[in-house]
Amino acid sequence: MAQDTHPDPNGEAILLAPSRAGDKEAFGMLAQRYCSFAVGVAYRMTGNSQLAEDLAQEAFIKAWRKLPQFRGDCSFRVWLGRIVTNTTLDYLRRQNPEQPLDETLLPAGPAEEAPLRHLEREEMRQLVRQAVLSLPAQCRVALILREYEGLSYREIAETLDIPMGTVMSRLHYARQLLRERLAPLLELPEHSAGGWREDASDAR
Amino acid sequence: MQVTHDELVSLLAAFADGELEPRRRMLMEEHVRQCAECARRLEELRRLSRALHIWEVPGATAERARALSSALVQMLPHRPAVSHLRRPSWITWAFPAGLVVWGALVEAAAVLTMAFGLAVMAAGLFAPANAWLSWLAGIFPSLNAPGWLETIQGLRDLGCQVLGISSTLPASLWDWLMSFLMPTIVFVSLLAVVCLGMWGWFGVQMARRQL
Repeated sequence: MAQDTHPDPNGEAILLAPSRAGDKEAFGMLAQRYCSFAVGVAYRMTGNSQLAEDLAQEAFIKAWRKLPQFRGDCSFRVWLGRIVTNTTLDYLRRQNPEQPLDETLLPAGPAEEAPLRHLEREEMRQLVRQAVLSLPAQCRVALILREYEGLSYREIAETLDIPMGTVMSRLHYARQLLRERLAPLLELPEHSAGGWREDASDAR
Repeated sequence: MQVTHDELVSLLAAFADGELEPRRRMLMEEHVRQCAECARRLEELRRLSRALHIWEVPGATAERARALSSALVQMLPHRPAVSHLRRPSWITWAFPAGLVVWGALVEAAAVLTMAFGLAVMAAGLFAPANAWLSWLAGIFPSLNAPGWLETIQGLRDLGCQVLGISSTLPASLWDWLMSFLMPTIVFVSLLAVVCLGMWGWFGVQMARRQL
């Protein structure tokens, strides 16, 4: 069978088969397994948690409708990631129809300001949030899939339907912008008082 | 293999992301131990990666995921069983199959016509009546060699016998065949190939958009 051609490290085939056959409960369990992935991508693309949940729901419903067409030529996560990113990018296009997705949507963070020595944690969070959301959408989605969701370059290329070289150049550009925009934060010590490492050390 | 410093710098991000194959990874590990500049850049990349994780998804708990998936199950629309959806209707395969068969037939006809026309021309039975044929005969003088002549004459007679037509058709008919019919067939067949390619590309794009 076609769906057996791809490795199944998460053992999701046992849920995929009944889901394809129309079992809503099985699909619900599959959705639960990938909920944090879908919501995480949508949240970091939009910066709004309620909206992210709505977009994730919309993506899961699309996935449910299209599931019979899933042939297993990529992993389910990549296939679902394609639906989630398309749903989110379509939403962003609708919100800013005249703004191409390879341009910056939000103003950049305070890179030009003097280094901040005593940032509060919430301020740090806002700084990172603002910096990520200020990236061009096409670079942002590549960065989110890599940094927050841990997808490999190949998986990102399959998800976004772009060549591996484009993945690497988008990541490079995104990181370059982030280095500039997060300079105040990156100059802070990671572990000392007022540093940020403690807050993020267990995130990966 | 000698690798320059600049090449290694360009691989730093892939190294930090764990994307290098083992040989290059070992090369990079060794280089980073010796090169302070690359070690600094690598640490910058890792530091940036750690800093990004300050921004977490609010309320991302297992309970929330359970609640969302339960709500999702209630929202899922009815969907016919997969076996019905996967059964192809006749139009699904008949249309592309018809196009492919038609395109192949037209291509074959064009190739046969061209080969037959060239054979006749090379046999010297009829003088090339237009500039295009003269030009072609000038490019392939070997077609007029004696060995070819008999072979092609034999092929021509065989072809005419199979088709049930006379091998002494008037020159004007060959002229018409070569100057009008054959280019038309070639043009139409090329058009068919382009259409088939566009049809396939469009189908793939539509399938992707539906995701």
